[in-house]
Amino acid sequence: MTGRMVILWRDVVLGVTDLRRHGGRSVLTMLGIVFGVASVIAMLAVGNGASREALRQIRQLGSDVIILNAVKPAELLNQGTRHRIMSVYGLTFEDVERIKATVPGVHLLVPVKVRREQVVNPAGVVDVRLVGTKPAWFRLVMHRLMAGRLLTALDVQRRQAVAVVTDTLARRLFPLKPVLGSYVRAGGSSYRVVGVVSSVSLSGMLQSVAGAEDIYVPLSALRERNGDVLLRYKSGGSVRERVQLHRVLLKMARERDVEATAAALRTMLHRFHRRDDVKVKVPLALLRQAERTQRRFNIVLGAIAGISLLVGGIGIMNIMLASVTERTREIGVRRAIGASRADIMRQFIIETVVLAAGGGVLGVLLGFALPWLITRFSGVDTLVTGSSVVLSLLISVAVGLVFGLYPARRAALLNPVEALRHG
Amino acid sequence: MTALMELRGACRCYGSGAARVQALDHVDLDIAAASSIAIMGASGSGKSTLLNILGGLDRLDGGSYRVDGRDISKFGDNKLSAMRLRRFGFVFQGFHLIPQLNVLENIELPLYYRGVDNVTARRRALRLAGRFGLENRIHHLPAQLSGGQQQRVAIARALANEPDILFADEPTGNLDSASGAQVLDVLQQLVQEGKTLVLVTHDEAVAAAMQRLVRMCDGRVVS
Repeated sequence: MTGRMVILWRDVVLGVTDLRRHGGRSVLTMLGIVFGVASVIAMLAVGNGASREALRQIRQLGSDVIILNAVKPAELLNQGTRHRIMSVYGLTFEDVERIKATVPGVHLLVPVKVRREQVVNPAGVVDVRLVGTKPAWFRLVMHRLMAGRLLTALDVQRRQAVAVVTDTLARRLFPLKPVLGSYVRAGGSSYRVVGVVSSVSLSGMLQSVAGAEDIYVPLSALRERNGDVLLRYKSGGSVRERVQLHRVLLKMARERDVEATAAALRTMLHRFHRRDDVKVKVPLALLRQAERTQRRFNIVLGAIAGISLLVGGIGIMNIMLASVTERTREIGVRRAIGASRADIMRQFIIETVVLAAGGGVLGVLLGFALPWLITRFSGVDTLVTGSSVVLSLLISVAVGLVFGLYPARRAALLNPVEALRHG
Repeated sequence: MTALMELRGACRCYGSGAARVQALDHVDLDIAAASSIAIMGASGSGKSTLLNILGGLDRLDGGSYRVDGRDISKFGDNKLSAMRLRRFGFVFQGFHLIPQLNVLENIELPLYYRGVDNVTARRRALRLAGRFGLENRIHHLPAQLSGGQQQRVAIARALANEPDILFADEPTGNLDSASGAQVLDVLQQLVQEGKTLVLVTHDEAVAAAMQRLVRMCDGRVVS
């Protein structure tokens, strides 16, 4: 080690020694920095978590996907449960044909019909979603085939009563016997299970697209057996709904066409669905939503962090000014021995930086705890990254440098003779 | 032969207006190399100011102060600090050790400001501690030492950078007579080794041990 390095290191060691001597006072002084640093880390962790969650979901569907959802219009929702009224809404097979004929650049088009059903098995009643769709579903949603086979074009053509179930559901429906070849009875019909796929879990805006309790059957088979009308019992009556398709998933050939196509689809669908019973959604927008969340968090927590760091810095400056006063004679002695103003300045700045960095380290620990608690109690996904830890440590060192400057300068400019006479 | 330290028409005053005190009033003083000199005088006679000026801790308002023919009253703060670091050593009445540093670290302090590497500094500090009979106390803090021991640590610290001039402000003032005699003995030995010693004292016996005596009154040298 060179001479200068040795000097710096000894200052750091002495700074730490001094901190330990004033343990309680040091910790109290550090609190502002601790909270400031912790909120910087927590802020970045929440933001990173939101982006990661959005990316994860997009990865399961692909960023080149457009989702058309059937939405029950508001006026139908308010109709209550009077008899004989049939709610008719949603996507139609005509829509599908129209899209096929007029929208360019569509790589895959997957029509989806969903019925919420209950499956009775010896263990009890299991809520399932009976999803009528086409083989292209499995090319769009990123399932993994666990056993058996997927739905085929032949299944659709022949309206075969076959089903592909998710592994989660398979375990619940058939805890004891082999899944493949077993029959599952849902919506009044029995389907032979021919395949098991990994379940895809989506949340937020994409939650309804695919779930862990899905049974995938050929769209033609479902339609033949159950038609388009769904009878739903509610308190005090029943509601009848006729929906041809609940959802159409589109995968574009090129990702950059997504936005324009979505806009075109909105215009087109609005022309044929005056009641706006179809909504166009783009998973790519999830990322933007995550970014919005992140920005909001950044502003709020950034302000808290800024104020904490400012208050913390002032606290540290205050304690260092007190320290300079307490140690005036020591400063005089050091000057008499031959320490230059720069030597004294450096000593006090390093002590302040050590104090601030100590607060930074405690803040990092708290910064790991906070996101963990947030995830634990609110379910919001968080991610503490190495760069946020480095960033906040750098910030605390910077706070030490900035707020150490004034006390250090005061110490350095003391008159040696007067300092020696002090106390 | 020119003197090692040469003060010409040295003036220093504190305060202003009615409270103005002329601590040094046109003082001329030559101090030869490898000599010892005692400065005596009543409180407020200006002897401490004189010592501070000679030691480069304080600055003149008028006149000149040459060391080796160089007028250090014109030096900037950095050059003056370097001068104190390399050529001057200080011993104070109240010992003035750094309380949070142990004996070795206190002795090493001047070496550390000079940028001497750890190993060399430790070796030199150990040698000095040994010379002043502190080898069994090297890891003690100042508060754990007797007054005589503390003053010997202070002397060791003053000698760390091998300065040629030592300034002592009442070095025996806070010590019992036995420790005081021991400290005085050490200082005299150093003069024999070629160091120059400038010492401020109230004690006639200590002053008598010096080769030369200067008495001060009202900021002037009277004899």
